[in-house]
Parts: sequence; structure tokens; C-alpha cells
Amino acid sequence: MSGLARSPQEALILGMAVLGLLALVAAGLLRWLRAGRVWTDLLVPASFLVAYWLAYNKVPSFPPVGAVNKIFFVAVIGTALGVLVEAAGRGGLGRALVLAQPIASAAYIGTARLPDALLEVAAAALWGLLVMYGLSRGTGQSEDESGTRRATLLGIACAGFAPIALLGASSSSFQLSLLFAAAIAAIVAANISNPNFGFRSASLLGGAGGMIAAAQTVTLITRKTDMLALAVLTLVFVTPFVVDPILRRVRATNKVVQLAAFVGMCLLSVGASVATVIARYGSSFPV
Amino acid sequence: MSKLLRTTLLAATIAWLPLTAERAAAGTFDIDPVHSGIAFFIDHLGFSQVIGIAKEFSGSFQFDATKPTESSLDVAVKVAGISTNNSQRDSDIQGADWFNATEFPQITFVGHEFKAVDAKSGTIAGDLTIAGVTKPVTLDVTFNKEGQNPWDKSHVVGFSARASIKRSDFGMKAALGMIGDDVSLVVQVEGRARS
Repeated sequence: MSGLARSPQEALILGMAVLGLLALVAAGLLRWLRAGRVWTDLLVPASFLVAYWLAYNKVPSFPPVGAVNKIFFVAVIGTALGVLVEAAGRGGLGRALVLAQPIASAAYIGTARLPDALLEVAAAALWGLLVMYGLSRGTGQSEDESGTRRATLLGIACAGFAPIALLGASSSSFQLSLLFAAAIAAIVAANISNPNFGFRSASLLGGAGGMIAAAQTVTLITRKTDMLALAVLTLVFVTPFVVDPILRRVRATNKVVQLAAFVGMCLLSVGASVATVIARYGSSFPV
Repeated sequence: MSKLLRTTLLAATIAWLPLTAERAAAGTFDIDPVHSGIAFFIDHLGFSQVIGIAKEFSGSFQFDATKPTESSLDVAVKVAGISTNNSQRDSDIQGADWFNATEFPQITFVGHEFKAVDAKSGTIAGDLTIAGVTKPVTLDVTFNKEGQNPWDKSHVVGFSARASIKRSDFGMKAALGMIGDDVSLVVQVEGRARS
């Protein structure tokens, strides 16, 4: 994209627009074809892989050398496992894999740090586990609503991670976060009230798992993550556990109100995280 | 010729013999970091060439001016010691998108094939490893001087070398289009013979 743009900012915006459009067309096509959840479940991880390709300008060779290249294969293997689990109808195994993946990912990405920073690797694994738990539980909605809400949650969290990645000296992860967020926004837009939309094992293991691996890379390998901002951002994954009981208590049954309340709460955490970054780094923020 | 003069000449000749023998045989030299340097140049938006230097490096080579093809060379550069004269950027390039110092703390070059073009120049083909990726690279080398350092009487040999690489070959593809892909390397080496 950089060849068509006059500045890095234009290149990023162009990339987001193109990927968003591609995701929208793919999601729209699947909806028009009434594709089942096994297929729609591939939209998020496929978008992550395209976003990776756009951000890092490469499809890494196998076996991967270095954490950045490992991210791609974490997503590919996660997607393949997710598809297999869903195709085999092994929901229990899928749930177990979803919780095990961030732990395996932290150990894989942070292999070089295992001997001298076991606690940091363990903390990164625990963080990934919490994110996956928040994404895979607590939506308490019907399948289609649950899918779009999970995707929305992941997309907002990705957008919120972008400034943390930029501050963490990873312009590529910054781009990856925003590109992926744009694609997710398009997927959600195309699948509102689509009963066949699935945000299941492939989306969790391939899409969210890939993004968790990217965050673990910035944290464990580049080692410049603002931990406070990341902790504040992580609160976004608590949103479903907070919003739903409140909505039930106030008896808000309108779908639009429910979605607005959900998105609003998510944005609150993201806003707080961005504010934390700006407050702590101010003018040195590398914009 | 007096006996005293003959004795003096004989003593002087004997005193020079070890040095002559050392120069004739293949010697092992340690790179003297005080008088050596590694710099790289990379394009920034077409406006300038940003200059980076390696502050910490070490290595050794074997060299015999009469048999340069039998030389050897091993160099290691500490990634944490790379400087581009800007602390923010220096910190950034240590990250996973660039040199990835956490996983790959050293850059290495091992020379394999040494060719003399003429009495003062030649090439060294070897393997350059950056961020875990190894690629063949050829250095164009100029032989500067071999002789005795007048200060400490050590035996010294000096070379200048240049090479051009593409950072994308080593998996470093961040910000391509804004920051150049071609990287020029300039090396000045002074080696001290092991005693």
C-alpha cells in the first residue's frame, strides 16, 4: 500500500480501507450464500492473516525465525485447530484449546526468555488466558448476538492496543492492530442479525490467538509495553460481565440500546487506556 | 670492519629474526576495538543517509600477506551496542520488528572464501547472520598496511572493507518505502597479532 500513498499515515488508512472493504465483501458474500457458522467463523482469522501480511510485508517461512514470524504460525495453527474442532463438533475440546492456547503461545513466543524471565512469561500467559476467558465467556446472548458482540469486543480491544504497540516500539504491531480492527468492524457490520455468523473456535484460536501472540511479542520480546495502560485496556474484557447484569436490572430489552451500552462500556476502557498512555508519556508519544 | 661493528650487526639481525618469521607465517590477529569501527548507512525518505555505528564488537582473523586465500575471519557485533545517535530510535531498533536483541543478541560474520584481486585489494565471501537469518555477503576489502605499532611494538595489520546488503533479506521489512532497504556497510579493522 505504501507505493500508492504519499505518507505512512495515508498508507495505513488506505490499508485499513482496503482490508475493511475486502472483509465486508467476503462477509457479505458468505451471508448472501447463507454459509454456515463453520465458514463465517473463518472471516476473523482470515482477516488477521491478511492484516499480518499487510503490516509485516511478508508471509514468513517455516520454521519461523523470531517472535514476529511465530505470530503468523500461531494464527495459522490456531485457525486449523479451530476448524477441525468445529467440524468434528468437539465443543469441549475447543473450549479447552481456547484456554490452553495463550499459555502455549506465551511459551512459544517467549522461548528465549524462559530461562531468565519465567515469571514474565507466566504473567504473559495468564494475561492471555484472561483475555481468552473474557472473549469466550460471559456474553449470555443468542449465538448470532454473541458472535457479533465477541467480534466487537475483539475489534475494540485491537484498536485500543494500537497506541500501546506504538509506544512499545512496534510500528508493525500498531499497523496490525488497526488493520485487524478495521476488518473486524466490517465483518460485524455485515453480520448484524445474521443467525449464521459464528465467532467460534477458529475466530478465537486464529484471530484472537494471533492478536494475543502479537501483544505477547511486544511485551516479552520488545519489552517496552506500558503495563499500566495494558492492564487498563484489559478491563475491556470484563465488559460483558458488567453490562449484562446492569441491562437485566434496568430491563433494557431493546437490541440497539443493549449494543450501544456494550460498545460504550468497551470504549470506556479503551479511552482510559489511551488516556493513561498520553498522561504518562505526553509529548514523547511517538506520533 | 671492526669486531665491535660485526657483533653489533649480528645482534641486530638476530633481534629482527622473530619479527620477520612472524610476518612470514600466518598470524592470528585480534580485532582492536579502539582502532576499528563498523558503520552502516541507510536511506531516510530519500532525504539523507542515517548513520549507525556498532559500539561493541569483537573478533579475530588469521592472515598471511603471502597467502591471503588461507585467511579466516570471525566477527561478532553486540546488537545492544548499535547506535544511530538517537536514544529513542536506538531503543526502537532493538525490538522484535528490527534487530530483535532479546532473541538474537549478536550479529555475526564468518568469512569463508578469501580472494586477492591485486596486492592491495580482495574480497571476503562469508555468512552474515542478523536476527537469526543467515545470508551470504561479500566484503570488498582493501589491505592498508602491516607492520609494527611504534607505540607498543605490537604487530598490526589494517584493512578497510565495504559491503551492501538488503535488510529485507534478513526479515527486517518494517517501514519499507520510508526507510531504505539497501544498507551500506563500512568497516575499518586494525588487528593485533597474538603474542
